[in-house]
Amino acid sequence: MTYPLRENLEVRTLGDGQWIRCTRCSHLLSRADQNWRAACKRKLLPATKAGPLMKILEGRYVFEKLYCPSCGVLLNAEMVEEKNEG
Amino acid sequence: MTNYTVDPVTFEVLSHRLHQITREMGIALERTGGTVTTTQQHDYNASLYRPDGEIMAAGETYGHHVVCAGFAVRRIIERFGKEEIFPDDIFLLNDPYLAAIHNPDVYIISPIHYENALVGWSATFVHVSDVGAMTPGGDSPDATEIFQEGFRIPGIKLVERGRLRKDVFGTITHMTRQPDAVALDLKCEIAANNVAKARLQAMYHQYGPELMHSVSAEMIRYTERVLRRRLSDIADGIWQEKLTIEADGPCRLLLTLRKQGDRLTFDFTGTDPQVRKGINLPLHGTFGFCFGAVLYSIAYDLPKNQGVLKPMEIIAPKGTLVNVEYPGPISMSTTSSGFGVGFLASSVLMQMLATSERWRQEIVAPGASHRNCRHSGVNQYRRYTAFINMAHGALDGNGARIDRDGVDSGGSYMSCPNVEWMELQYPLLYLFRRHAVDSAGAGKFRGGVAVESAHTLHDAPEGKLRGVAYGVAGLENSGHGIFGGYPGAPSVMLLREGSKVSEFIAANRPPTDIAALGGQEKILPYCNFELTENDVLYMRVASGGGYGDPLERDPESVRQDVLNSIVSAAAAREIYGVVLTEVDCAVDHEATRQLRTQLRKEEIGEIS
Repeated sequence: MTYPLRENLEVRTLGDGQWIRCTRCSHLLSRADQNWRAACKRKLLPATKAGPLMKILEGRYVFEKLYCPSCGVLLNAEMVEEKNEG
Repeated sequence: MTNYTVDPVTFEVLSHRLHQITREMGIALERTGGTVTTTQQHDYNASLYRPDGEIMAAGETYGHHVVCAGFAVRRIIERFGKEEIFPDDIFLLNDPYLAAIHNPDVYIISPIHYENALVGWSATFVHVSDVGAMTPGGDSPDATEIFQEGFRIPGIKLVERGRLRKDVFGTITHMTRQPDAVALDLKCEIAANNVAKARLQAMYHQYGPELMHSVSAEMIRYTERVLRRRLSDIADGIWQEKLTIEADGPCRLLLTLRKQGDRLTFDFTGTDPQVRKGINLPLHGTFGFCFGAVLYSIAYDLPKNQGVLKPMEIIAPKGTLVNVEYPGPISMSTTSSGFGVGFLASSVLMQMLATSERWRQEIVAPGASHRNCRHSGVNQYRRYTAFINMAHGALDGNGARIDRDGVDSGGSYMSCPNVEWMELQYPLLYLFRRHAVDSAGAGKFRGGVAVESAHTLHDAPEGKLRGVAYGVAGLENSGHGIFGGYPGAPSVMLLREGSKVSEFIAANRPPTDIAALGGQEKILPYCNFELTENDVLYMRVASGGGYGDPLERDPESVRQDVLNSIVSAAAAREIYGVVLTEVDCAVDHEATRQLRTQLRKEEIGEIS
């Protein structure tokens, strides 16, 4: 059984249970009950990489992008608090 | 009462007619209201309820007020008992610790009888222009408890058996800074409830009590049945979202949605404790905002009624931002924690819908609201007035969807008067109101563009206006991107004190560049402030979040955005990876392909 999880990710039932995998390259990121984000390639960028009006966020937030570690398709993009990123 | 079996055609006709009554109530409010908030900004609710207070038909308005007005009906029933509720009575309630969300949202509630039997209720709210709080207009940033936030009425009979209780009415308006305007707004609510009563009684006369009762009961059953079926068709799961509001420090809202079978549990465990600032939301408000999120995401095509609430459970720990305990302040709750809860609920529901082939087409990037301002003072006609500057969300950019861009300045339910009308009514001069370049969240489909505006004083007899800064303060407001889409630009409110705006106007120079106007810039948190001569207030409301990777956006769409001054040429290149020729702004497809490849490599290295 396969059903979508979100854009570019799906939940697929394999012989050893349910897995979250990339729909573009079929790479298995994590088991369905685990945090797929932890398996992603992660990039932290200056807030203004999301647009010039994000300048007001500088020093407080950074722009986090998550990619499939196998094919590099972008899976998520959001601002995260800089202090939580060490 | 005997339950009829209602044939489908009759059901559809009567169901729509009941909803039409709520629309006609809304028209009555708009045409007879006393303030711009009601007549042009449409900050109101008009709905019908069953005799026990269950939602029978919700008007085309905010979902949260539909629910809270239902709570208000129940509080009136509890307070007065059926023996004290008579035909043609009308009640008033605005206590946020019973049913309202904040004091200025005054509920007017009317029992509707047919042949001396209680057959239903109508309820309206409008946001009246003043409630005698410590701050004009009601939103009181300095309040630390409910007692500073204006009159608080737990239920009172405003009209008794058809006769207005003038002593009660006069006492209420007497407690406000704008008795005439408040009186008009209360009377417009009475008018709208009278419309509801007349129309519902006519339906009862035409179709009879048994059929009417059966239709309204079946409407609720139908909505619940279809909604539960839809939920059952979606895989079970758990989704989470958070939001930080800045109010004398970070205030964190956390929501976990659990979908199991045909039930939804919205669990706010982990949300921060309530604060001594009026951003705390009463529990019924939390119910209401979750109701709205479900209604607009997966039940928008169903009869809008109690059936939406039936599959829902809310867990909101006491003493937190989403379940305030007495006597915590709440005056700014709707536009802060309230809109925050609405965002969280929408966000987790969108994540849930993404797992369904059927429903993923309906996904919209969620927005976490915006800043706003209320002014008060003496206008150019030497009359005291309190008013909202930009109607809540009316000019927000909407979130992008799976297959299209968000609507530019699409807003939500409320409307915003045009600049000329505002200048006619209030002592203001607008320097501009326009789409903000590069505000939309980038994406394969971009978010809707926000509006930015700036205004200064003009012809203000006292040389000043008071201001209140409210809304969702903090940098996580505005639209959030979804599935790789970028967030929209934060909503901000800046005061430039002592600017050169008068010099610009005297020299006939367009004062359209805020930075060029000089002056001392202040970012306004939740606070009171003064707008005096040569001060300029700049506001940018929320922008829509994007959907998907901006590097996958059709280059021709990016070109159109540049031509329409929605995206700058620099952002087209740096964010979308689109190269446009300098001469005719055409897409250089080969250069674009190369630039996009380069941008991907820069970010993710060898993978690509």
